[in-house]
Amino acid sequence: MPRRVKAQVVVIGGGPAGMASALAAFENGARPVFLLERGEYLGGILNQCIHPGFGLHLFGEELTGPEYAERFKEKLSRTQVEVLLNTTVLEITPQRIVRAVNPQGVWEFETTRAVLSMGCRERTRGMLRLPGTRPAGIFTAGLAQYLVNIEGLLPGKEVLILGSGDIGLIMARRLTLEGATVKAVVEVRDSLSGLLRNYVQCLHDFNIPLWLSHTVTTIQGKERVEGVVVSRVDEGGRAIPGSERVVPCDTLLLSVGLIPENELSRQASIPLCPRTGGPVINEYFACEREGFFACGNVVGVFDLVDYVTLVSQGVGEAVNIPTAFSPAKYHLVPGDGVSLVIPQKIQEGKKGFLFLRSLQSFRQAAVSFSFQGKEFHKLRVPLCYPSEMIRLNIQDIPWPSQGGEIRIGITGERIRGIY
Amino acid sequence: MKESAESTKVICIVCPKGCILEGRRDERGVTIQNGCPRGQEYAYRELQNPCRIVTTTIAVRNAALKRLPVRTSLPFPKRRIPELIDFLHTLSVEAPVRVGTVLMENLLGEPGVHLVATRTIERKSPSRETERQT
Repeated sequence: MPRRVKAQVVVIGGGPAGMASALAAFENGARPVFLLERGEYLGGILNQCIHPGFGLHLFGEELTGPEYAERFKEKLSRTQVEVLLNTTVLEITPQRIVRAVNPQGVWEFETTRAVLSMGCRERTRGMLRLPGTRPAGIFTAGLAQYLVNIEGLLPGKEVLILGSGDIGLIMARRLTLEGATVKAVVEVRDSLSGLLRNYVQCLHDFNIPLWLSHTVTTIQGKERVEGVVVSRVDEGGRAIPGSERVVPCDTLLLSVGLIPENELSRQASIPLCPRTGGPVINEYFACEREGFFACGNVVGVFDLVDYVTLVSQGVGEAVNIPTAFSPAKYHLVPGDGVSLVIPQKIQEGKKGFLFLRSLQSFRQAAVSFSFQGKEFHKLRVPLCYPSEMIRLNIQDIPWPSQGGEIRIGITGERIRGIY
Repeated sequence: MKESAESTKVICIVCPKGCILEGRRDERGVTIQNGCPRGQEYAYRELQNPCRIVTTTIAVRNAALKRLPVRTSLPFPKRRIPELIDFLHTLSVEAPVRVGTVLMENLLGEPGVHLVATRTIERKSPSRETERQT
């Protein structure tokens, strides 16, 4: 028989989002609060991100991932938030029954509020449909990071990295420091995906080349990777015949994007947004199903953990707000030049943050808000990169008096190259 | 963009603009030719003695985890980073360790640059070991 427990709040996932929302819910008077974590430790991916750069917005200092996580672990240990480690959630029903299993047995939580904070996972070779053989030596960048930083294992000696996102850049430096040779970082787009700071400190510092407008077209090797074929791509991202070159290496790292992890959300019949891959939410981060909230990378991939903490603290407060699930007035839609808009729904436009991600790098950019085809608000942004979300205060935007669909676009002068 | 360490060009990372700042080196030292005040300060440091916060892991004995993540308390001279990493590979500490603990002072003789633990790691609990064996 499962242990049956009644809860006011059950938080699923003990990474930065889960820790901050459980903590804030408890501080706002919710009792009891359960935090369920699949792994042996709280902190999630922060534990393997041993490099500095976290917490600048929130704490005004540059922390490493583990240090950032420790601050929240410590705070949690001083509360009565019930943290269950080694606990895997198997199922969430639309009626908010959360079924989980851990070494103590099977649990069944009946909860008033469920907070989804399962984070995201990495895109894999299969999703890229990368042709070639299937040897050992192909890793996602995050897996390589886990092997190096947590297990103390080096995944390979001669490495090629596909994708210039921040995790790929960080791993180029990390592997170089540990004695591997990083042959190059290959990026299919014509501009850097990660932060300029990471390009300078992770590639430029170690003379690692960055090949823009290139991609991996074949993997070679039978038992182990022996090399990869790299080709130049045209404007449409298609490989140009005749431009192939073979790069000998024993390891290929993939840093090609993250996908919100929403298997459980689907089970609970929570409406998902095709654009973000995460639940459709409003300014309270409330889902379109009574009693469910979502925060952090399960909603859409954030670039700064500080932002994840910020929105998750908001969720912790919102669990006590009865109107959090009231119908929305505005529906936000990404227009030209915009890849991501969070939240997708807005009730009143009086609180919370609006996060935007541009599709490309722009100089002299303008963010434009339009309603029924007419622009009602424009905001100038000197520089705008896909690697850095634009964060706006929802209350600063002069929302139209009538509700409906709001289209948000970004235009500007395209930046090609590294900066 | 492909400048070596000896170059007098610096990609500024103080803000996201990414200006290329140029320095001139003569007998009186380095002068930066362009850029905003913050950028000039950054470029000056980059050309005089570039330093970085170094993070890595070291071995930890009798711990629930295999590696202890560590950092330098202050930026460490860039040219000596490989030497520092080699040295840190020889180190090992005994669990438990608390986050923020200074493990070693004045790393490789660099004044004020200490080695700091960035995670709390408990001692390996014997009970869990038996639990795993069963």
